[in-house]
Amino acid sequence: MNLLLNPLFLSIAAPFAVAVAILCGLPQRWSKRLAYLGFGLPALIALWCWANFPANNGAEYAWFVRASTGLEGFGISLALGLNGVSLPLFVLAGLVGLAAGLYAIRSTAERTKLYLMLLLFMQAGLMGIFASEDIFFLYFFHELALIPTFIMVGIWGGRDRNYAAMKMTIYLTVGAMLSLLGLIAIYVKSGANTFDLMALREAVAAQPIAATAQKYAFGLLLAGFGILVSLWPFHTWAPLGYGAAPSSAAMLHAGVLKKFGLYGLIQVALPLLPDAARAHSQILTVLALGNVLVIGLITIAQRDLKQMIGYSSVMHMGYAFLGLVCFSTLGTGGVVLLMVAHGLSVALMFLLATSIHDRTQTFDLADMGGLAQKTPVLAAFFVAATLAGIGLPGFANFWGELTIFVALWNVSPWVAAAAIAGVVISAIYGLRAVARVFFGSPTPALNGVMAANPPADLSWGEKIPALILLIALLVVGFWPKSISTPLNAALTAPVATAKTAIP
Amino acid sequence: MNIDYSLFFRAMQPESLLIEAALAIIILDLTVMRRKDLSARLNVASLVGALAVALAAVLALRNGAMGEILNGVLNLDTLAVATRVGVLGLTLLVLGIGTGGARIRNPAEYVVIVLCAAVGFMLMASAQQLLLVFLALELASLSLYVLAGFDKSRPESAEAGLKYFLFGGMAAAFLLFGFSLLYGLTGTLDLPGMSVVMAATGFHPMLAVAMVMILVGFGYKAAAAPFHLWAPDAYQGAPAPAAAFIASASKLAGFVLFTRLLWGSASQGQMLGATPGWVPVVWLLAGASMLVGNLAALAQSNVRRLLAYSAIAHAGALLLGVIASGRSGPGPLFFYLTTYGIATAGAFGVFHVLENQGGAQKLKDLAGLHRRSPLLAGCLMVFILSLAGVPPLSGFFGKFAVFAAALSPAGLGSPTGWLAVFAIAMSAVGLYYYLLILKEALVRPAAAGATAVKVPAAAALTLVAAAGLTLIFGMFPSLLLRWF
Repeated sequence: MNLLLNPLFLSIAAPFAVAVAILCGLPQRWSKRLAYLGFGLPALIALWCWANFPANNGAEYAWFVRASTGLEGFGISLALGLNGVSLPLFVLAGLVGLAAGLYAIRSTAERTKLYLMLLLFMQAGLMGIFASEDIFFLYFFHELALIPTFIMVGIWGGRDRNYAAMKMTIYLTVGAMLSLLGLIAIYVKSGANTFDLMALREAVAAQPIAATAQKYAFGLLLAGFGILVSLWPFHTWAPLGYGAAPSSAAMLHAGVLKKFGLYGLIQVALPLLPDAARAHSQILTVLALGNVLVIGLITIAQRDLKQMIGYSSVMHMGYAFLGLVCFSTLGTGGVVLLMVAHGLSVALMFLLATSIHDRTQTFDLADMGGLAQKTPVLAAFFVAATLAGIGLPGFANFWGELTIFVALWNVSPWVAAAAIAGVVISAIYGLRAVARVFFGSPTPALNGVMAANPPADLSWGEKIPALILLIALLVVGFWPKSISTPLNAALTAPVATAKTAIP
Repeated sequence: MNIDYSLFFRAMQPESLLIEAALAIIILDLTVMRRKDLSARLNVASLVGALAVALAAVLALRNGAMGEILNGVLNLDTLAVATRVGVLGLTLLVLGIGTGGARIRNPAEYVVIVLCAAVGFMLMASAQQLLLVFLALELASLSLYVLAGFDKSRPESAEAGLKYFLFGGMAAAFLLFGFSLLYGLTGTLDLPGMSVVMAATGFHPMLAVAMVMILVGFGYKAAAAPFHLWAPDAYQGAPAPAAAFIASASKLAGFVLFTRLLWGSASQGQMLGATPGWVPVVWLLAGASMLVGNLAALAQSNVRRLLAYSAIAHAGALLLGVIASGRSGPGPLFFYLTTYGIATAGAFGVFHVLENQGGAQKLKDLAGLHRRSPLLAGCLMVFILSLAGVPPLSGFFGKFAVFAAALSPAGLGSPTGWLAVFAIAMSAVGLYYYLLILKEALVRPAAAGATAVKVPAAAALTLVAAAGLTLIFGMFPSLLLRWF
C-alpha cells in the first residue's frame, strides 16, 4: 500500500495508466481529457516535490520506497527516491512533459489517439528514469521512453523520416546496449551482487572496484552514454532525428530523454568508477571540445531551422561533458543546472520552430523573413528562447554555463578559453536565425504562402506550453538557489572521492 | 525393483490425456463431422485439442514436481514441470493461430499430430533414460516432419518436409550412435547412473567421440551453425503453424533435454558437462550460430527465411545460456526459451493470417499493415521488439538474465564472458533486420489496392494473449523465474 500512495510512483503510474486506457480503446474525446491528467499530474507532483524537498537532505533519497519485484535473486528491486541531483531533472521531466503534452493534445496530428498514447508511455518512462534509485530500473525506464520515440519519428516524422528513424534507432539502441553492458559489469565486479545504487556505493566505498575492471566498465559506459548524449563524433543521429521528429517527440527527447546519459554518468559512473573516470578525462575533454567548436561551426552553416536547433543541442552537450571532467562539485553542479536549463530552452525552441513552420510552411531559413510584423508574440518568444540558449543572465542557462566555465578555469584556463569561444558561436547562429526568420523582408515565395493563408499570432494552445517553459527558465534564472542548495548537499558527498584536477 | 504403478499413471496423466484427446478427435472427425466443411472440421478438432491441452496443463501443474518415477526412468523435477507447462502453453498458441486456415486438407489429422508432438516434447522434458530420451525425441521429430509437409497444395511444403526429414534422420543417427557409445562406456542407460560411473572412471577418449556425435545430432535438431542449412527452407515451406511449432515448443523441449545431458539435474552430479573439451565446442557452435544467423538474416527479403535466420541466431544465444546454466541453474535459459517461443510463434501467427488472405511471404507484402489491420501490426510490433530484446518486453529480460548469468562471476575474464559481449554486439546487428520488418509494417504506406485484413476471432484472441504474455513476462519476470 505504501507504494501506491508514494508521489513518485503516482507520477509514473498516472501517464502509464492513461496510456494503457487509450490502448484498450478509450474513445477519442475521453482520451484527450484523460491525457490532460496523464501529463498534468506528474508535473504537479514534480512541482510539489520541488517545493517540499527537505532542506539539508545530503545524499539521502527523499520519498524513498522499495517494492519487491520477485527478482531479488538478481539483486533487482523497484526502488524509487529523489536526491538533490535527481530532483531538478525530475522537475524538468514533469514540466517539459506537460508542455509537450499540452502542445500535442492541441495539435492536429492525424491519429491523435495513438500519438498521445506513445507520448504518455514516454512520459511515464521519463518520470521513472529520474525517480529510480535502482540502476536496472534506471535503464528499464529509459528504454520505455526510448521506443516510442522511434515509432513516432517513423510514423509522424517529416522529411527523411524513414532514414532518420532507422539511423536513430540503431545508434541509440547500440548506445543503450553498451551502457547496459557497463551497468552489468559494475553489478558483477562490485561484488555487491545488487543493482541498488546506495548499496553499490557502500560496497565501493568499502572496497573499490579493481582498476582493470573499472577501466572497461567506464569505457563501456562512456561509449554507451556518449552515443545517447550525442558526444562528438557519435552525434550524427541527433540533428537528423530531431529534424525529422514530430515536435512533441523532439521536445521530450532533446529536452529530457537525452539527459539520461549525463545523469547516468553523474549518478552511477563517477561515484562508482572514480579512478577510471580520471583516467578517461583527457580523451573526454578533447571530444567535448569537438562538440563545442566543431559542431558549433557546423551549426552556423545550417540552412534548416530544425536542423540548426538539433545541432545547437549537440553543441551544448559539449559544455556538459566539460563540466564533468572538472571532477569538482562546482563543475558537476553546473552540469546539472545546464541540463535543466538546456532541456527547457531546447524544448521551447522546438515548439516555436514548429509554430513557425505552421505559418511559413518551410523550415528553410533562406525562405523566411519579416515574420515579426505579422506575429509579434511569436517573435518575442523566439527571441527570448534564443537569448536563453546563448546564456544571457536572467535565464537558467547563464548559471549553468557560468559555473562550468569557472570550474573549468580552475582546472585549465586554456580549455576554459576554448569553451567560452563557443558562446560567441552560439550568439552568431542564434541571432542570425532570429534575423532571418523575423526581420528583413519576406521572400516572394513566403509572400505567396502568407497571402493564401494569413499567419495568425500564437494561439493559446501554443502560448501556454511556451509560457510554462519560459517561466521555468526565468524562475531558475533569477532563483538558482532553488536547485543548487539540494544539489550541493547531494554532490559534496559522492564527488568528493574524485576531487582532483585533470592530470 | 518395486515399481509404483499408481504413481506412474498419475505422473503420466497429462500425456495420456493428450493421446486420448487425439483418438477422440479422429473418431469425432470420422463420424459426426464427416460431412461438414473443412473449416468447421478444423475448428472442432482444434477446440477439442485446445481443451485437452489446457486440461493437461492444469493436471501437470496440480501434480507438481513428483520426483523420480519408475525407479528413475522419469524425473519430474521443477524444470520438467515448468517445461511441460511451457510446451503445453506453446501448443495452445500453435493450435490457436492455426484456426481459420483454408489450406489444411486433413484438419483432424493435423491436430492429432500436433498433440502427438506435444507428448513427445513433454516426455523429453522428464526422461532420464537414454532409450526413452531417444524415443521421445523421435516421436516429436517424426510428428514435426509430417507437419512440415502437411500443406499438400504447395510443393514448397513437400520440399520443407523432405529436407527436414532427411537432415533430421541423419541427426537422429548421429545422436543414436553417440548414445550407444555412452552406453558402451558406462554400462548403463540411466543418466544419474551414468554420471556416477563417469565421475568414477574419469576421462576416456571414446567419451570425446560420443560427445562429438551427440553435439552434431543436437546441433542439427537445434539448427545451430554449421548444421543450420535445413532451417530456412523448412521455415519457409512449412505451413505457418507448423513452422511456429518447430521454432517454439521444439526448441524449448530440445534445449531443456540438452541442458540435462550436459549438467544433469539438481539432485545428481554433473553429466557430460564435466568432460573436458565439451564447453569449448558448444562455445564455438554458439558463436558461429550468432554470427551466421545474424549476418545472413540481413540479406533476406522473405519474412519466413528472415525469422529462420533469426532463430539460428537465437539458437546461438541459447547455447550460451546452456553453458551458463551449469553454474547459475536453468532459470535464465528456461525464461529465454519460453519467451522466445511465445514471440516467434506469435510472429508466425501474424504471417499465417496474412498469407491466408492472399498475401505472399515477401517483406514488402507487410507494407501498410498498420492501416490494413492495426491489431496485427500492434501484435507484430510486440513480438518483433521482444525478439530484438527491447525492454519492457520479455525478450529483453531473457537476454539480460542469460547474459548476466554468462558474465558472472568471472566478468570479461572468461571465454563465456567474451561470448556474452559478442552476443550483445550481435543483437545490435539483429536489431537492424527486426526493424526492417517493423519499418514495412508500421511506416511504409500500403500498396495500391491493398485491402483491410480480416483476422479470424480465435487467431485474434490467441495473438492478443501472446502479445499480452510477452508484455507481462517482461514487466514481471518473476512470474516465470520463481519456479527455479
